Parts: sequence; C-alpha cells; structure tokens
Amino acid sequence: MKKSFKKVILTAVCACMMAFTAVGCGGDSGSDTGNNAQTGQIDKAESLSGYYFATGGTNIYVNQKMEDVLSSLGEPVQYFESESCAYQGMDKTYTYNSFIIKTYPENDVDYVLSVSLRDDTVQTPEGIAIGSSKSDVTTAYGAGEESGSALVYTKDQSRLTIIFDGDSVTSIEYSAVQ
Amino acid sequence: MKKRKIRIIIALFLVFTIVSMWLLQRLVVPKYNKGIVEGAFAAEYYEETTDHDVIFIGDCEVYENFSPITLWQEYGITSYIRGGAQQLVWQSYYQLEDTLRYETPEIVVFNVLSLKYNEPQSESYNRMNIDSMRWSSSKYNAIKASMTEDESMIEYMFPLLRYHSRILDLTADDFKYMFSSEKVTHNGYYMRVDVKPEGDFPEPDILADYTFGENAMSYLDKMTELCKENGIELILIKAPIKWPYWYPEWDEQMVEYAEENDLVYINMIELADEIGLDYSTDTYDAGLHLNLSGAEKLSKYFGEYLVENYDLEDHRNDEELCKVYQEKIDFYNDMKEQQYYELETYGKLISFGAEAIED
Repeated sequence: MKKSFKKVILTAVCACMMAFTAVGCGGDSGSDTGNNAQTGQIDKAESLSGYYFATGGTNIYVNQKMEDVLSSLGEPVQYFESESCAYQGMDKTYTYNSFIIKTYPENDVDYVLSVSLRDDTVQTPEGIAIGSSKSDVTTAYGAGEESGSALVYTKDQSRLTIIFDGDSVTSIEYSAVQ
Repeated sequence: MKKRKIRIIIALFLVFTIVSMWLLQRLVVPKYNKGIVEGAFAAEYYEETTDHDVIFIGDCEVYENFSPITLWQEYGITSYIRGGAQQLVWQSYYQLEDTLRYETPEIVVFNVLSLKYNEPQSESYNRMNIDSMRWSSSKYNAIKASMTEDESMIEYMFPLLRYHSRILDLTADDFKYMFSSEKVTHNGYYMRVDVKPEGDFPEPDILADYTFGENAMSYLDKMTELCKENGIELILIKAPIKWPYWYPEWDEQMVEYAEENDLVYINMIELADEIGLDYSTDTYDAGLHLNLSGAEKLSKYFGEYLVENYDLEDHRNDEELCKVYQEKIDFYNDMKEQQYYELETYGKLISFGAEAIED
C-alpha cells in the first residue's frame, strides 16, 4: 500500500515536471492566438525559390510579396477580394489577361498563393502552355506525380500542377506548398 | 509523523501545481469572444436547455445563412446550428454524434460544400471546431480525424502545451473571459447586418479530378447511417452561395448520392429567385455569406419547405418553450439594434466581425 502510494506520488511529480518543462520550452509556435486561420508558417526568405512564372520580364514566385508583383505588372483587369470564414485579412484574386494570381494574408502582408495560366498566349519558362501535349510536359519536367488527370511537380515551397484533357494541357497552376 | 508531514507537503505541492497549471491554461487559451468568435460556437450548444426539431451541421454556409430565431418566429420550429468555420465533413459527423448524446432531432440538415475537402486542412480551423467540444469519444475521434501533420493529440488534451507562448500577447479579454464567456450566436447563427453587394467572382479553377474524395464520402455515408439508425431525416443542402464555386460535376454526384440513399438534396443556388434573394443587398461580404436580411429570407423559405414536407409540430403554444425563445428573441433584437447603431454611427461594425477590436 505504502509502495503504491509512493509510486502514485512519484508519477504525479514526474508528470508535473514534464508539463512544466513543456510549458517552459519556449518553442516557436508562430502566431499562437489560434485565430490565424492561415496555415502557412512559411520561411519567406527560403520560399522565393522553386518553380516560377515569367511574364514581361517579371518573375513571379509563390510566397512572394504581392506588392512587389503589382509594382511590376501594374493593375489587373479584374480584382476580387473576400473575407473567408474566421479570417483576419482578405483573400484576393487578381485577374490579368492570361493568368490569375491569388494571394493570402499574413501579418498584414499579402503573399502570392497561386498563379494560374488561362490561355496559350503565355507559357512556363520551360516552354509549356495550354494546349501542349503530355510528352512535351514530361520532356520539360520529367514524369511527375499523377493526381487524377494532372501531373504534379514539387520544388522547394512551390508546386506546379498541370492538368490534361486527354493528351492536351488544359490548366497550369503554380501554388504554394503549405 | 515526519513521513506524514512530507506526504502532506508533497500532496499540497501537487494540488498547487495542478491548480496553477489549470489557471494558466484558462488564461492563455484563445477566448473567441470578440473578433473571430467562431471558436466559441461548439461550446454554446451545451448551454441549451431545450431540445430541437432540426439540427443544422456544416460550415459557414449554415451558421451564416440560416436563422433559427426566424424559424421559431415564423413556424414554431426549434432548431440549432452546430456549425463551424470550414467545418470538415468528419467534424460535422462527430458534432452530430456528439449532439445525439443530448437529444434526437427530427431532422438533420447538412451543407455539402465541405465534401470538397478530403484531408485535414488547417490547425486554426480544427481548433475552432473542436477545442470547445465537451470531452467524449466523439471529440477524441474528431481530433484524430482532423489533425494535420504538425498537430498532436496531447496538445488538444492539454491546450496549455499549444498556447503557452500566448502569455506574452495577452489582452484584457483574456482576463475578462477567463472563467466565463458571453453568447456570440443565436442558436448557432452568426449575425451580420452590414451590406456588401456580390462582386465579380473570378473564373473557377479547372480541377484535375471532380470526384469527391473517398475519405469525405465515407463520413457522409456514416452520417447517413447514423441518421437512419436514429430515425432522423437527413436533408442535404447546398446553400444559395455562388462562391466558392459549386461545380456542376459536384452537384451531379450529390443528386446521385441522394437518389441512391433515398435522401433529399436541395441545391438552393438554383432557387435564389424563388427564395427572394437579392445579392446586391442580402450579403455582407461580396457574396460569400448572407447578411441578416438574406438569412431571414432563406429561413422563411426553408421553414415553409419543412412544414410542408415534414411532420413538425408548431411549438408556439408551448409556454415553457415560448419563455425560453422570448429570451433568445430579445438577445437577437438587441444585437440587431447594436449592429445597426454601429453602422449608422461609424459607417461599419466595430464590435462584430473579424476586424472587431479586442479590449
């Protein structure tokens, strides 16, 4: 009886000490308010690498500051913003003639979430455009990972998703890996 | 004697430690009482003192678009919305399972938009949907089904482990709502009276696969089964919201699923004119959610559908329920007045919505 009581005490003390240790660990929890609905705790410096879209001398990376992109590209043809459920900040969509850029907010700054190419007047730096064939794509990017009717390529914090209708590319999207 | 003293000291030390940890946890967990209030929704359900004819489950397309108070005032229907921000289908399932511990409604209404998500999405939304559920196997399973890669069960069991670093960012509200909270919904309905007309939505993305994921559909199957086992009518709806885009391919799958399982599926986007919705005045955020005017129109329409098609009792002659609902109506009207006052005075809401300033 006495031994089991000691065991209980010892276990409880250990549990408390472990909890204290965990509480005091000071690990970086980012924005710990639980209110930040954006999942992307992304290292921005590291993220400006990977696949990118180039247009008119401007390279657009996912996780890049939208402010920088806007200063190069100018105003879009159409702009849409929406406050999603429980979000602080706005999700924004900038529609240009041949591509669409979506952003996400983090600490009052908008970053590029995705770039979608919409017609064959633009192409990736590797030469792939809407209408390219599957073999063009695999020659340019390799086999990729199949997902439904798409081939998906991941590099650093970027993902390139190329969707096919039969043998022909119907959609090209750069997106941030979260 | 000496040993006894030591035991007492250790016991006191343990009690002190546990109480301190509990107090600290109460202090640092997010309170969701102002600004982003969605994390408080799950807990409010447990304060209900009466049963409900209808339970709504799902994402923002239920808790922002249906007004249980209107359903009561117009038809004497008692209802509650167990909704949550980006509530995923497995969270809806476990919320329903949890609800059935307390009551068995006649009808469950599930909004199907969340079927587009087949995998866990976001810790923040998980927390808002799950943290304030009471502990049960449903909560445990909801956590297990929802956790993203970086999350762990122990942090849900002891939120102090997750939120300890908030100790440096505490606000006055963290102290004010440490042990109690104020109601933020009306039977789960999140009220907004402001107006922002529907915008020009961007072109919808082309998807690699329009088929709903197996995981998501398996929880819809479980929900269907659970309702059948309990003699509950399950109604599947797609709220009359055009963005996020509801693809025709998704709609077809829902029509087929409803037919196969002998369920009702209503795509309300197609009924917007019949409902009387005017997207230039009935939405507060450019068309993503309805405002109070839109929610009341939709609730009147849906209430009429329910009384015409289901054997629901009009409870407005029940004195006890009338008393309970009068309090709810008063709270509803007070909030409505306050929101209109803020709109007139400041040109925007300052105490409500994601941008409301915390104390």
